[in-house]
Amino acid sequence: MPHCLVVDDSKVIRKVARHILESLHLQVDEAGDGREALEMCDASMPDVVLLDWNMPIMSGLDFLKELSRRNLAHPPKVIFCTTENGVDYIRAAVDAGADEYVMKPFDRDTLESKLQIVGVL
Amino acid sequence: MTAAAPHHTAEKLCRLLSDMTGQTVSEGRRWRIESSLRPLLRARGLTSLDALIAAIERDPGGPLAAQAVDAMLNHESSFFRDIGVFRTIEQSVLPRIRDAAREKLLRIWCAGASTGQEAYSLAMMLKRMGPMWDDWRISIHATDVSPAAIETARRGRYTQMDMQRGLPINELLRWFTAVGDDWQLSDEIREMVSFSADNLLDPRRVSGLFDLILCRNVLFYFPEETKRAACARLAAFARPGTYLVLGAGEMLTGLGSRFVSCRDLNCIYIADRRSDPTRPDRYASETLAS
Ligand SMILES: C[S@@+](CC[C@H](N)C(=O)[O-])C[C@H]1O[C@@H](n2cnc3c(N)ncnc32)[C@H](O)[C@@H]1O
Repeated sequence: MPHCLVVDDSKVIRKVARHILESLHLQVDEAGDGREALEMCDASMPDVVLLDWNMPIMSGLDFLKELSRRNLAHPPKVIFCTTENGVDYIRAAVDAGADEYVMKPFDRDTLESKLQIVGVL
Repeated sequence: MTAAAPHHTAEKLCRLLSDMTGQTVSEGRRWRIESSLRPLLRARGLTSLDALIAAIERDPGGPLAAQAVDAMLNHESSFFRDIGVFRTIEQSVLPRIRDAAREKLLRIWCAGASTGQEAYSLAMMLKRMGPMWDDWRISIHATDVSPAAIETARRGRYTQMDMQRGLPINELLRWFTAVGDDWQLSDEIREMVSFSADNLLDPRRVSGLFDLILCRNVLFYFPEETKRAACARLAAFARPGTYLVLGAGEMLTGLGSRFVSCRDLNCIYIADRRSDPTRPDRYASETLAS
């Protein structure tokens, strides 16, 4: 069963994401910010991270930078999750190492298609 | 207005849909008719489905009938829908077509293409495949019975929601620009696809033979004999070895079709020898079964 880490400071978003991801047969863990997410990755590397961009303590961007510093042989796929749809914004996330992006609010079909694109489903 | 249309009213609307598209609405889905037509009623200031029918009957070939049919059709589509099938097309089908080709011409037909995502996905895929198609002439023709869907397709402008469903981020960055809340597809991709509003059961603006035909999630809504007729139409545009791609879960079993399943490739069929278009009886033998 693929393992997904949901990183978002909103409990509601985490809950919605968990509900959808579990219905897609993923094992789900949650983190409230980038720092907590890094610790969880170090303990057990997920297959995919659903990553919020703007978070307190450590942002999505800083999380990605830290993760790439680890030079992992098999880094998790990263789907970043945002409320903004500017091209520059999306490009910055891709440059930082994100594999896909998803806009909030998202639904099951959207998440499913993104997981298929990154090869987790 | 009641939630469900009275039986005779629903019956008339279903007949209109069936006459114009071949599509049927199962008993279990008739309740949807009312909700799908509600926006049209509101826009036209009509108070009931019966008023709509009366207005259509006053002008049978007019725009209102087409609009009502359009509202009843299911246009659901998305970029790279069922991505596994697109991977199969990219990795197996297109290379096989290329290897077997006698001239550097690739012709693709998307029948029932809805608002264009399917055809544009193929165009983007061909671009991504790069130099292997460089000196080829490529034509992608997309048809749908709904003129409104074809108009949307031609325009190539999509909402954020359309983009989210299936469009890989790299394709978005490469081929789209943000326009307000929407996204506009580049002319370079749009120009690779031609469109026409055509009924699959009588495709007047489609001509010639294709190497690859996609008819996905269209046959599903046809009754058995219409499926048979549609397959015969598709076969008329196929040469031996033409590939046909159907939607997930759609099958040709029992339809007497000239397409046979590619055992190693999901959802993919190939036209066998009997579909040789050089046979003089090609079209005549494939009259609409009814
Ligand atoms: C569910 S959509 C599928 C779109 C696309 N092929 C896909 O799989 O994403 C089905 C489309 O078939 C079209 N359609 C229905 N009956 C048709 C007919 N007789 N001829 C051509 N198109 C038809 C509808 O208008 C609709 O846009």
